[in-house]
Amino acid sequence: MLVIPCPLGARERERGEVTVQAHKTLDCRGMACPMPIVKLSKAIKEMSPGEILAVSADDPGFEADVKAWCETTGNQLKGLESEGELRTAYIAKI
Amino acid sequence: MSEEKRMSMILFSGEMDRALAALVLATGAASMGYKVTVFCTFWGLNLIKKSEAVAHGGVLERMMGFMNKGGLEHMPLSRMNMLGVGPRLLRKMMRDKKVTSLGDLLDTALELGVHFVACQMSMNVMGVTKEDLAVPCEVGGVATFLNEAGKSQITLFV
Repeated sequence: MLVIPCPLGARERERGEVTVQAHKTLDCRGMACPMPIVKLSKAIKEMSPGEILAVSADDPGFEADVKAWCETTGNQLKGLESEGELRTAYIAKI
Repeated sequence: MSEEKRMSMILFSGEMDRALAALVLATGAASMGYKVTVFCTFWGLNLIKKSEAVAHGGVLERMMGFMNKGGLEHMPLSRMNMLGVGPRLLRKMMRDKKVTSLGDLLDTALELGVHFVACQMSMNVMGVTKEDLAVPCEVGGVATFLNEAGKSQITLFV
């Protein structure tokens, strides 16, 4: 299992608040709609069921979009961290 | 949900802003597991038409083809076109905000398997042949679209 590299969610990790560990990370910082969703769906396709993907994005619409994406595709949103503008979503592939 | 998710869209407009909306929806839906069909008709043909394409047929078709060039770079804006300055400014604004360009979105849509259908009737009226189309697509008519739309949970007209 991989531990997500800093600085994504680093503060929470130091405080020991992060319990989810990701098998794969995806950096979508600087991308605008619809690219974070496009990239995360591509990344999920390459993974095996049960594995967890950590996606980080600073697009203001990402939080709502990642929730909606999970609801539509049936993949599980395990957690969502926020650090300033940055949102990191932990998604378990079904 | 056992039924396959499908989205069918008619792209009637040939403006850059409307094409952007259509491409964002198409790529977004494809990423959410929808099988996406974009039916390009009338001005919407310009999205999938080669920019260097010349209309075939009589004087009227050729005149229309000259004034209605294909390709993303020739698209006007639906508002504030300002004789072609508008699209340039919007492209700059999109670049500054790191919004993906129309060309990249079109490539992404094709990569995600978005299915483009060119309207045979409007191709015929406007003097556009299959060789004038820049992206791999099917040529079809109203039944082709309606057959797909009938199976879709989402149908849109842009």
